[in-house]
Amino acid sequence: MKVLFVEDDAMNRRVVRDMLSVVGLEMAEAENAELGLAMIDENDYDIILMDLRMPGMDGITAIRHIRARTDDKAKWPIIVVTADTAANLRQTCEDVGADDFLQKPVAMNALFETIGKVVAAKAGGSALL
Amino acid sequence: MPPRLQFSALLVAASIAFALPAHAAPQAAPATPFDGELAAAKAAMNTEPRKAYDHAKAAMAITDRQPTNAKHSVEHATATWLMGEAMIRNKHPDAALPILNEALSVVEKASPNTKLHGDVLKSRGRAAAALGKVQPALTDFQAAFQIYQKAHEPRSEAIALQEIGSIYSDARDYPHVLQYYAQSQETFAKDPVLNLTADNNRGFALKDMGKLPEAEVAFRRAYAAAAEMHSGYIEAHVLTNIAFAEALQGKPDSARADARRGLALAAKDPEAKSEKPFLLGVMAKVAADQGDNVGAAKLLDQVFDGVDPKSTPMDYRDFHDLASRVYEANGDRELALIHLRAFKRLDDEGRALAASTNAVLVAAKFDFANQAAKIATLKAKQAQDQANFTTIITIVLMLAGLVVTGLITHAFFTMRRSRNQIQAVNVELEGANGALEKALHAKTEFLATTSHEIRTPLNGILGMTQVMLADSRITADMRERLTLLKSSGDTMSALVNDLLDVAKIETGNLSVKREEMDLKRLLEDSAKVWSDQATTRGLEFRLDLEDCPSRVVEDGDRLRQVLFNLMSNATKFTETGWVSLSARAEPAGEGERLVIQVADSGIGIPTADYARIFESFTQLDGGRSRQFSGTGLGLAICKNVAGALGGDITVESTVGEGSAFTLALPLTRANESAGDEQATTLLILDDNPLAQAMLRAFLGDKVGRLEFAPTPEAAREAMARGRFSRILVDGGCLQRLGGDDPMAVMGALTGSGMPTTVLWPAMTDDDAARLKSLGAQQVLSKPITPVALLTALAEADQTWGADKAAATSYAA
Repeated sequence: MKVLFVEDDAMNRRVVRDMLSVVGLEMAEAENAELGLAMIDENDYDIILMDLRMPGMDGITAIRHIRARTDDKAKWPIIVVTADTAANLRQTCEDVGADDFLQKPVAMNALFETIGKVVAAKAGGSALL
Repeated sequence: MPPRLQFSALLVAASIAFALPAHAAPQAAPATPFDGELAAAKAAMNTEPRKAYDHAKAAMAITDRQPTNAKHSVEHATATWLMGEAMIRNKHPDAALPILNEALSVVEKASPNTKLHGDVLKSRGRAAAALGKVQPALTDFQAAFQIYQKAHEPRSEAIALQEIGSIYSDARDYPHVLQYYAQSQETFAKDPVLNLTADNNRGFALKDMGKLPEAEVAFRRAYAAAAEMHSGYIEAHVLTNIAFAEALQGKPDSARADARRGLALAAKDPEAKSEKPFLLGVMAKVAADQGDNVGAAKLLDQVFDGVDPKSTPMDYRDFHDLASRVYEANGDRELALIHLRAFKRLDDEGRALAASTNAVLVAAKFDFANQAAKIATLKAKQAQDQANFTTIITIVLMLAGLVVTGLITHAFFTMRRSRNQIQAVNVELEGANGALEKALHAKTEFLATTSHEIRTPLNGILGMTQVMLADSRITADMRERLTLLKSSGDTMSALVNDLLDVAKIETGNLSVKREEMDLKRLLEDSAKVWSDQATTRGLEFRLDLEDCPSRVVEDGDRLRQVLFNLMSNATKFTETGWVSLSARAEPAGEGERLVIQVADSGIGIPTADYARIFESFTQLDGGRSRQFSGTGLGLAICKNVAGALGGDITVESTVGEGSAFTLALPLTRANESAGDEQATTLLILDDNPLAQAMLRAFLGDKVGRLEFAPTPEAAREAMARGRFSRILVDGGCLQRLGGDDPMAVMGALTGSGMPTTVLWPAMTDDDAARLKSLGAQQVLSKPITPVALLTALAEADQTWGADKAAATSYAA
């Protein structure tokens, strides 16, 4: 499985990449939403992790762009990863079509649990164990 | 949305109105049709904004026919900006906002940091201000100011400063009003329009500060500037202000003389006619001050001729006040009451605007000093004032109701007596409320920002610690140190959450999310953590979950939060002995309740302090607890969370013997999983948490019960403890943990006779043969799809809970 993490903070990218390597997942990274969208155009991923507050395009807008695509990539699983604690944020993410929501600091188990859950729900029986 | 204060807004509007022709720069013959339309739009902006809009739109049509280039973009933005500005003047600031946003997006690209860029921002600020959106308005004005500075446009800088000053004027923050208008005049002193507005609005600020002679001087300077403008309306307007300031100082003759000059202007200049009621109002004030209430009433009749007192704008406020006094003195109580109500309405509007604007301004400036102390005093004060205020208002409303039944006299006198009280309470309330609102708002903002900023590095610390802990190569020493590091990080993370919750509690936004959950498992998980902590501190840990229900509907995160706080206190305040956690269901009335208790043999709490420990920021003083750190937020949050969950938390304690905290909540049971009765349970040996999560998601609802073991040892322990119908062994896990001969480890596990399915990575025929010879009932090659796995499991065991239909449902 290949993960794309869209996140402006280099430390956070590194942490999640190392966490994912614990379970043998490969991670591609984009330091802003624009780059992330371009990478989605070019490549295939099994799951997208998305930060919200980024310079330039924010994560919510980026999710809208992905969900507005006309190809299969529009349905790729997306998990929001944010340090933002604003009220109703979870709801906003749900409304634009994010599949799940992780609050920073991210607990490693919660990361795996959420990825597993979302992939299972989205990919159904075709995912590989 | 509160209305803008008319007096000050009026003059600022005037400043912009006069500003426009100036930078339209009179052009004898416009160079192009576009320039012609633009000039026409600017010329019409003051007096006929509708026409200005049409001209701007025509200009846009012309430029949009041109090829797209930088020049076109600037022209397009200019025309769009003027359309937006015209919309504001047409009293449609809501419609102006999107137009100005478009202009801004074009100008930001085509010609950033130019005067046009500043102009668009300034207009957008004005639209926002007109809609009562103080914060965005302030941000736009400040941004416009900075751009004008970069573009070296001192005149526009001065206008932006005045716009900011007008916001402070709404907030009744007079020192700042004076400061911004003075700065405006320092920045650009050559424009009579700007001098006029600056002096006039400084006059208002000084008047409201009670500095009447200085106010009069300021108004007179404004008048000198107004005389240069040859506008009867503006002259008359400033004369009203001068006359009013004179009347307030007890100078009836000069007040009357200046008002008469204004009235003469109003008689001959149609533009100035709208000022007539206010000039008459000043005359009425002078008459009333001199004891001529009959004459004053006659003048006031004219002031309010054809005016509905229920919907007068702010300009009329002081005259309503005057009218209520004059009519009362003349015995016309019904009319007096009408004006008293109108005065009260406008007074409240102004106050509300001031309070809300102030809150935003303070949040923008942000002063966090001595916050907690201030909040405490203000809260007490507010409660008291609110009580007085409510009583008075109730009386007023009750008695005002009697007016209809003919008891006007009674009602009126009551109101008159109450008026001063209302005023007094109002003033106090204004202060207390404003300050409280400021403080709370500032704190919430601060906490949200700080929390975000703390979480980010915390994510790094905790994240890396977890990654290192997941590495099997680290030594036991290292693991212990890392565990301590993680535990500290977790505590810090909980603290940040606590701080945020305090803010939510104060604003009444504490949220709970009840879901079906496994209570017993949650408590067991929590117990694991705390039993380690207790053991480290040399304490005995007692756990009693015998009568604890498993499946319930509750907010797991909130329960965990309360448990964390209670358990952390119990271990912190206990030096020797034990800490305990117990949970049970109890009958309560018709239903049941859940009782969770955390107890210890620690230092205890004096009975007198039982209530106080649940308050925010309280840690009991005195030598005994000084040695313990903590914010003192934990129990306050627990109490509030318990309340939000529909229950309560109580304490019983004996000093020196220990404490017991009891959380009692209404209990809603969920359906116990069917798997608990049936034997169709699956044990999975897999150390990969991601694989575990996916298997749980795939198999969770197809199988009675799933249990995971991350190591062969854990799998053996699980088999010894519980009944399983099958074990699923992940070969990859064995290869990682199983030493030299991973297949042999599998063999040792199946030796017990347990039906075994093995998933072996890239399995060869030889692998399969060896695994079967070692006792595996079923061998499957990895990778495998969940559908294939389920089908295989169902085939292997007909008693299996998941039949083929369930398996194929995935494929569909």
